[in-house]
Amino acid sequence: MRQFGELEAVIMDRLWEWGRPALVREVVDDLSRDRSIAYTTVMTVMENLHRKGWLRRQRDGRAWRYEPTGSRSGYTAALMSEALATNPDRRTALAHFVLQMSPHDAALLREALEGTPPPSAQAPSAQAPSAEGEER
Amino acid sequence: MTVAVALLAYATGAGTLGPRLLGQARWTQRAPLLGIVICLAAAWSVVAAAGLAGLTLAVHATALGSGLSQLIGACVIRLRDTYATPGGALVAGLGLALAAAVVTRTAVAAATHLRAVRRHARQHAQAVRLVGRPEPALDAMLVEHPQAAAYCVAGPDPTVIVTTAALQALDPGQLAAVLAHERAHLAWHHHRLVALARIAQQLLPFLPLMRAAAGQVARLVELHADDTATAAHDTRTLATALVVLAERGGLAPAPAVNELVAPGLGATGMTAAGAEALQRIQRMLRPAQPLSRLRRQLLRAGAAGLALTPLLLALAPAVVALALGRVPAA
Repeated sequence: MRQFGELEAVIMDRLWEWGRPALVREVVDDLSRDRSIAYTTVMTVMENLHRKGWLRRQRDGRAWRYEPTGSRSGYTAALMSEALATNPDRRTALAHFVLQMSPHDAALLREALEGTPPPSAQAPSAQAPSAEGEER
Repeated sequence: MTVAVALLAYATGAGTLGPRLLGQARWTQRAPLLGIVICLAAAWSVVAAAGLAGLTLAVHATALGSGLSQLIGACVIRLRDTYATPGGALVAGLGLALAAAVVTRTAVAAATHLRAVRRHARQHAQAVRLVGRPEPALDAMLVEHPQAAAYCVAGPDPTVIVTTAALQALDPGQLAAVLAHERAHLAWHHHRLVALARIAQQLLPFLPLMRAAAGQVARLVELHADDTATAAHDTRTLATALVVLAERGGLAPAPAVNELVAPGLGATGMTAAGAEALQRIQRMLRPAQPLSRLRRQLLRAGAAGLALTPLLLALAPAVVALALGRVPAA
């Protein structure tokens, strides 16, 4: 599965780069330059990508011509807007280092960072917030 | 009946008063993992109490009632009395329905939630693989995007994702600290802890405890990931990285700081996300003493107590009946 995923990425990469509908044969020929790969493997992967909605295809004689349904930047923007959505239900599976916040909030964070000298410049125990000794 | 009332009283009491205790518990930021355990124990003990209340109502009317008492050699009458239900079969039926509802609802909510999260995770990870490119040196996927962000996707294919803007904004040390934070989420399966809390919340959404527990667990996993990251990385570096990403996380270019901060303006007027980030920074810059061994032991005992309370309440009369039933002519 992992290799299939990698092949999917490589194929999408080529098709985005070419910017035109391409036959499976063309993709196979291109990929064969730096690896040995079976025609049927590439065909299966491209059919999968079509089924998942990443590629659309048109008849060309007896073969299909495939092209991406959207641009790479369009997909990236959609992906990131999903990833950065503030609605927690849309990103339960994702864990962010820090959530998106207003410039105002970010400025207050910067102020807190700059306003606190490195530990060497202060007596750490005397500076500990008083609330921390409280019982629950 | 007494038992069922006691169990429901516990569920109601803990469900409504619990949040106040959780909200006041300042120690949680000194021991985030222990805090998570307490939150989950409290939330799920309430679910268990509701289920067991139904079960104890039902137990009287069934053959299990006398069977059980014979089994443990206790006086049938006495055991019946303690679990006795006025209204007999009807109340027993309601009890059974309550117990069944709790069990099935739990199973359905858990399955639905976990399936949705897993599908979402798989789709997201796949999309990242297609539009991003692997960065083997970082063991992360790099996505070209003007907003600085770093996050991870758990699930079948755990992945750490960094945007190009984040890569540019952070120096190598900061980046390493951020990646350590994200890997801590994946290594400790934090998403499972968050999911446990959220499933409990979906089961009894009207209980304030559930909402509070889910919020606390989501907050505490971040603190725990910070702690894990700063075990191997400088705390100030991680704190700085947090501020940098907060500044560059928006689409608009960050305006000059001085325009925005009115003199004397404190943490007031911050959004919840901002306040949470502020707390993390303060915590990293001025680390508090870890909890004493005694406090830790007490809290662990507290968590175990919370988890066991429903079971003890449900079984207490049977145990008492067992003890008394063996005393001749008592």
